[in-house]
Amino acid sequence: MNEFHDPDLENLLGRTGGPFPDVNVAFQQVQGRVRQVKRRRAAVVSGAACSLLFAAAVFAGTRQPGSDTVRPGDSTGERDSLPGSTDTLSSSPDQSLVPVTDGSTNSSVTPVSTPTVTAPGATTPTGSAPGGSTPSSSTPTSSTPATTPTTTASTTASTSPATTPPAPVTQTFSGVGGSVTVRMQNGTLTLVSSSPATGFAADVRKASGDRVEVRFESAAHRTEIRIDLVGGSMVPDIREQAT
Amino acid sequence: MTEIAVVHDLESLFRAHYPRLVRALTVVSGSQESAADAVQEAFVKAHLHWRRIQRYDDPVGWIRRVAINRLRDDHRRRGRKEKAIERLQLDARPEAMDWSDGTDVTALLAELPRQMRLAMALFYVNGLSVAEVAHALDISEGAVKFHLNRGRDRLKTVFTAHHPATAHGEEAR
Repeated sequence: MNEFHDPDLENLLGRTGGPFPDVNVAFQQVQGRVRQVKRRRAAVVSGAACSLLFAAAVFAGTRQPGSDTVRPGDSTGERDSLPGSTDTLSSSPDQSLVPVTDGSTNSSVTPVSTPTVTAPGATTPTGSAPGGSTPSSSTPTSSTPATTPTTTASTTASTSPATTPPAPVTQTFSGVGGSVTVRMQNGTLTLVSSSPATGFAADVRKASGDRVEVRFESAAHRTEIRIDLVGGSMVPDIREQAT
Repeated sequence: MTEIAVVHDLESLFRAHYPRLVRALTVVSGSQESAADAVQEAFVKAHLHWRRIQRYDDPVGWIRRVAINRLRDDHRRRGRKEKAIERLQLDARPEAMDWSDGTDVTALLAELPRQMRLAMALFYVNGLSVAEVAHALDISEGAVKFHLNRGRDRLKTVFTAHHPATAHGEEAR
């Protein structure tokens, strides 16, 4: 702008501005400051992430032990308080899982659950076994059909409100004395059915919680099937022994 | 845009504009150190937000405004500090610059209002146009012209009072 052009003033103010600064040094200083800010930001972000993880871990920690109160299907406390006798079996909650009446009513139910009734039938006055023998007791992964009918439906329905549970996993473990079908859901094991072989009687020692334990006994043999929940998966321990 | 490209872009901007901007703000603040600090701070911010800033019509204008604002903040902070020192009845030591001819130019400039000093520094030292100064100071071009006119007159009056011979010589020319 010519109107204000004044070389004297430019000269005077130019001198006031001092010497020209070293651009290289200044740029390095800027780079250093940028690195410093980025480091600080990274530290803040990682700190926030750590605290978030910690909070999540604490939250998960507080949720896990309280699972007994949250999950309706879990009756570990009651089970543990009861002695592991045959009487227990008749009043056990897992009996409710077993469709007692299905032998006569629906054919869609796999035989897995049916022989379960034979077990108590053999040992307790609950009733005689409709199926008699247990032919296909080791039918694998018939989880959903086995649990769907009659009373089981109520357990699944009551389980669903508890904090969006992951998909349940059902597995069957077999021994000489019989087989056991166990479902893992919400970090808890639940006995779906126990099917003793002919001549064996089932003794459910523990039907839910972090362990399921069933003992099959005959006059000459004992099979003990124990499934533990270890690191989110089922670990079986099957022991055979002559009595 | 990669980090290398950002650094490359900023480096070329930095080399082109940093020295002049530092010198202009030195005229205003009286301290090259604080001027350099303000300008560097502005470039650091530009680096951190370069993806956004590069899309602006005038990224350098943004950097200039950030530097000026930073300098203003420094002044405000320093002003409060000096007032606190005065209250404690200590000697306030304003920064002064004596150049080779013995003229305390900072004292001359200190007689001008800060906005006027900024306008003059950006126009005469940084070499910006009236429109660019107006944008940098967020004022109208008319206001910039006013500051330049008044600042030039007042500075020349003071300067003539200090250096009558030089002034007469200039007038003779």
